[in-house]
Amino acid sequence: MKEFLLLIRENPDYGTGMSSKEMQDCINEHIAWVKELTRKGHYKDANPLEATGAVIKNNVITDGPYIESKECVSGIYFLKADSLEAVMEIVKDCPDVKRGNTIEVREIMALEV
Amino acid sequence: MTAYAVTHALADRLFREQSGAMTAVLISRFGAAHLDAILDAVQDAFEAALKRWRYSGIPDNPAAWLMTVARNNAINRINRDRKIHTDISLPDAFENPEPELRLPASFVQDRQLRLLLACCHPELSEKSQIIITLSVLCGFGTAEISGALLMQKEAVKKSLTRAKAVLRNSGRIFETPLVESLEARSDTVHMVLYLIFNEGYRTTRGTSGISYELCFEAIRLTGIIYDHHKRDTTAALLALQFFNTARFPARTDENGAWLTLEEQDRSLWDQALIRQGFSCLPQQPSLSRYYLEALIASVHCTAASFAQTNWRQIAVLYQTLEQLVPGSDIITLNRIIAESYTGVNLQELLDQLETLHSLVADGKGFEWAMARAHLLCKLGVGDARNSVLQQALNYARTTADRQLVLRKMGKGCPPF
Repeated sequence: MKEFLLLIRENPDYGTGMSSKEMQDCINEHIAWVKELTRKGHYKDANPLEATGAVIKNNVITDGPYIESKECVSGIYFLKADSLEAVMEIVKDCPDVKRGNTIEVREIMALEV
Repeated sequence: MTAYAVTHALADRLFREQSGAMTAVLISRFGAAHLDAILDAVQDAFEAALKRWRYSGIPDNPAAWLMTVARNNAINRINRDRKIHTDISLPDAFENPEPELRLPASFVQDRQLRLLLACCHPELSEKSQIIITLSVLCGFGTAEISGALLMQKEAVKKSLTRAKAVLRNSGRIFETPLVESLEARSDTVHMVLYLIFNEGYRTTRGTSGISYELCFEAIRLTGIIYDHHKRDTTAALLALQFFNTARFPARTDENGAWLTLEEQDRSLWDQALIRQGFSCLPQQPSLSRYYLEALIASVHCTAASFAQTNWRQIAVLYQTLEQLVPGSDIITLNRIIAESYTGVNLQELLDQLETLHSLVADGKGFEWAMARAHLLCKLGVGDARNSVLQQALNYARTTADRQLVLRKMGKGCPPF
């Protein structure tokens, strides 16, 4: 099995103005999705990220990098699948995609050849 | 909605429940004067949960997690407000806040009950009491309230602004003994929950899920009152709500179109909820509106088929109800319909119905026109019935209302 990193990109204001029913529905959908991934052995790990952080470039530290960005990385998943095609099939069903967020999928390079 | 979905929806209501619980607990700690900061803090806590739980799953004690985040948010917001308005007094609870709030359920219920009583403030109109209850105890946003009550958003906003102003000055209700406040406002609070349930029951007709939410919330809040104080009136109201909820799974067809009682598949009725209804019915009850209506609902729930319904019993119960609540045209209308199945002279019933024309002005023109169409149909006056159905179409409040009339128009007479 190969491993993939999913970068979930969304507006940092995501969720603002949602009704409590919409939020509850959103969380329920996610939990159901993760449950299904775990059942099928695709799930490895996932974590949300704080909306703010810092960037260092040329020894200059700045806040950011996403203050201006409409699509900040809000969280990451590690999934296991046989191929990029297979993992994209899984990602298609992610509730985030249905809600208009962007997901970047990258295969993690294996150390052993 | 399947029986499973109904049970599921009743159980899986964390956000709604916690919204009221957090608001109530934080108001009791920090004071009703900080209502706005508290409501914002509660909303922030939900957004934080949405961001995190999507990845990390729901924590072991989600209620404590939300409560702690909301509490910290509220402290930050109130501190910020104090920098701008230096005259704001600092609540005692600011000192040494506990690291995590694992609160006993009885404490949270007590606080919610107090907030519910505060929402039923005599200075507010019935409609305002309903709106503010849905807002602060059930986590309904302005859009949800306007959708559920079929009101303009602006009107909801206006009502909320005024009700919040009243609520901000109602801090005393968190200090006076609960029994006293409950005694003083129990009639109002029961009526508000009765109306919230009815509003959900009436407007649903298979459209959005929001209306069912109203029913579930009414049950939850009535349950809180009953847990605290086992009075007959509360028990009867709860029984009524259970009996009516039991029929939810059968109320719509697979396309979401509303089905009349006669058309419903009774095997879909939720027997567990019906049993719950019976277990709530008081043994030696005092006669109340809720008790009589619960009995009527129980007669429907136990009838094997529409044809086998004990209409005589239902008609008698409605007659008793008419005496108990004089001047209620909708009760009289229901009594007339019940009697139409018991062999009473139909023309007489139609004449009685004609005198209830004021229902139209009360926004119940749809019910009135449908009842007339029903009697005309039974009298065998097909043409008149069709023109009355046309009239009902004009009074229809929802798409489902319209669909029902159109379906009736398409069918001959009988069957109605």
